[in-house]
Amino acid sequence: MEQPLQADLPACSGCSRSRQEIALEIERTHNLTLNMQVSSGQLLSNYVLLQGKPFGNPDFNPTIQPFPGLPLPALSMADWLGLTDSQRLQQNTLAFSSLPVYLASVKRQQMELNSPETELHRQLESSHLHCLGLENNLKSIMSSLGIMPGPAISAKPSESDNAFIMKLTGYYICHLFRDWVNRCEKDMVLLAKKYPV
Amino acid sequence: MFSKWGLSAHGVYILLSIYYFGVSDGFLNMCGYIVPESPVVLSTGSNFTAFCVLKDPCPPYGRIRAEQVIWKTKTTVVPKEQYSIINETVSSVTFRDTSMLVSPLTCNILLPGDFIQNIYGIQIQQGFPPEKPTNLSCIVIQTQVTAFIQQCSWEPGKDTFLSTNYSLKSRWPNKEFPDCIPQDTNNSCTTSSVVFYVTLEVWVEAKNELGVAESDHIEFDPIKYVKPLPPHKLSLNSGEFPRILKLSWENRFNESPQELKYKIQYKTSDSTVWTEIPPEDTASLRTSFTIQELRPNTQYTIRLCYAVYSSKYWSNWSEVVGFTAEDRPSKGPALWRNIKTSDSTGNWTLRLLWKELNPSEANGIILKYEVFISGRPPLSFPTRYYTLNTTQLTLNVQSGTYDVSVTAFNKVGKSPTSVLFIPATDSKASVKNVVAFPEGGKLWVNWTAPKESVSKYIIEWHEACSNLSCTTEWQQEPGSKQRIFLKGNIEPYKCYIITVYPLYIGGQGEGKSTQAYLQQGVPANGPTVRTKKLGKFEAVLEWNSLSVEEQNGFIKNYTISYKTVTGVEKVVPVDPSKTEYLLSSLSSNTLYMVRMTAYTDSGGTTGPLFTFSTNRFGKFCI
Repeated sequence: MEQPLQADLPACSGCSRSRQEIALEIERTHNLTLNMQVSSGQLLSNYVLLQGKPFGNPDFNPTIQPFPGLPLPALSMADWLGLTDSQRLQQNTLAFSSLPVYLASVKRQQMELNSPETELHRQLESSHLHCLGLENNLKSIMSSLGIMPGPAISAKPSESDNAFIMKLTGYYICHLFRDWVNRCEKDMVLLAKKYPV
Repeated sequence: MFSKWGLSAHGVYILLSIYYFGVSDGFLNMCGYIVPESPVVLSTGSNFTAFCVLKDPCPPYGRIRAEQVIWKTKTTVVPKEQYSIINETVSSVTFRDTSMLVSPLTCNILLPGDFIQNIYGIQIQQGFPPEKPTNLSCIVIQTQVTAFIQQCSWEPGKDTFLSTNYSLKSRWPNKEFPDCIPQDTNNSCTTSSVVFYVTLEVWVEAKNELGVAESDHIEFDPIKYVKPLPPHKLSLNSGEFPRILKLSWENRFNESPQELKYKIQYKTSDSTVWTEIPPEDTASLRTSFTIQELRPNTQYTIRLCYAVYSSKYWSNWSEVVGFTAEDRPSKGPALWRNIKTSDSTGNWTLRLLWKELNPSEANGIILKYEVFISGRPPLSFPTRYYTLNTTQLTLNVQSGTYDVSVTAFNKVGKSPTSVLFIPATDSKASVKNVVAFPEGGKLWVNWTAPKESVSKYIIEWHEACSNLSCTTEWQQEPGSKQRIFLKGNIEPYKCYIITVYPLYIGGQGEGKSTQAYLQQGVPANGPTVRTKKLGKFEAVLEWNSLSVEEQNGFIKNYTISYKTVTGVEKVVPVDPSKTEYLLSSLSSNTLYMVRMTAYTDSGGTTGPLFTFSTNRFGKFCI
């Protein structure tokens, strides 16, 4: 039988939650990321589809740019494995605290640029809400494990009024959203192994 | 203290217009006002004081004083004990318990000539502060594939009798959601913002002019309270397999991770009892399930619902109807014979009879029967073969011993073969003590089995009828039975002749019979009596037995009633086997009236009245 992984943090001694409750919260958060994987993928596809050329071109593949509070989630396997639970949770929390601000900004811009596309607006609104929910769950896990929040970095949405720049920025945000959801899902799988239900 | 009493003339005018109490000479415009101003909302049963502030002087009445004030609730004058004179121009009225206070409350002044003039009025509303809402619960209902609504309901408590606003509040630690305001109700509210796997805190706030109350806060993960749309596109496929049905469907709850559990129930379409697949077999995500151990060629109704694994709310049922494939017949037809012997030649008219298989045995549509018959030596009767789609075969044959076999076929295959041994004579042991009796609306037959092992019994029955045209019915029973009921259309008031035949391997016992009614009635007619012979002091009466159709039951006995025109009626009982009776000790040359009654267990029926006269002279000696 596989032994559970060793958690690199003791459960918070002053916290009232049992290890089982923490494990359930991690499992639930993992389920939330699975739920968001589908919707973040759909958002990115729909976003690209509705921005016109060159966004829909098969070779359209610009390098994704990070934003304040929203770094690139991709890490080498070694770097990723080298992260502690605290670092993982802090990085995810930072990203999902910043994403609602950026997604709200994308929604505002899309309402201007693609006003009839109500489904896209709904997806952006729903994604915004899901990010808030995930941020909430991540903070709850951190609190249960006695992990302090990481350094706060304020999100700074783009102020450009150039339509292409707005669309490209929106593309980056939707892409980063999907990538961070995928990253968080993997992080939660790792954490769930250390806190089996 | 009264610095805030200032009222606009316009406001007062509107108020006085509303509370114009039939005063013909108009209002005393701006002659005073009441504090507090309308609308006043009071807690029912509380105490309340109102002040009437007079404007002095007030044309055209000149000086008016607080002593002149008369308070009224609607049209009733408030007792003076409740008044206080605050100063020359201010009167107050106090109610210790407002439950009896009827709106509006008016300030009036008594003018010379006992004329009461209205000054001002206020509208008073009474009610209660809201009670704490209780039993708050929520359900998340899927309305479309990607759309959900969250419906929360609660008990608002007793009626406040006031306009009370309810708002459903919800939040995460990092987000307050907009309040949900119920429309046209005070005990439920629906929102469309649902995020699964995040704990939501929800509570209700009730607010009116008299107070605010808040329900307990509840916390829940919406995924645990979701009711999904029922599965759709259900289909059933039996393929070539007669005992399974594969149920396929599409789930409409596609929120990842799809942790779903299912309930699958099935029944034959003519049944009302559902059988459920064990829940442990359907406790994970799937889009098909194969139901086994079904009956061939049978219409099944199958229904399916599902729920999110952690939720207590199941979707509505979806239903589908389908057939299992045919299988070969599981049993051979019950087989019997009817023999009529020709008086002249001694030959037989042999009618072979077999029963249609019931659907659970036929396992499909029976397409044909194959019949073999062969005679045993000394008969020279080589095997004959017949293919039929009827259930009888009539043959004119020599009397003797025969072997008969019948096999039923459907499109899948053939049934086991039924065999019947027809001996030349029923030489084997018979059953004994055949009795038949009604019980529970059925006609039961009991018998004592022979000592020898019986392979099966044939029970034959037919209605007793005078014209011999009644058809014979029969049924086959296992050799272990000694008590059966007749499976057929058995009617009340009809006499059935029931015969039990034991069948052995290689022989047959003689049939033993009994008669029975499912239900006895009174005879349809009474016997028609007449004289057979007349003497001076006696008469021989005779009658015909009632036909079996008239009897409606077993005739227990008869009675004969007779009397002279002026005499007392005499009644004599008569055995039912008799058809004549001697009346003696009669008076000579006397007219007698006589009638006869036939009795069954259910009662009697009297026949027509018959009159006769005894002879004057003893002509005959009876």
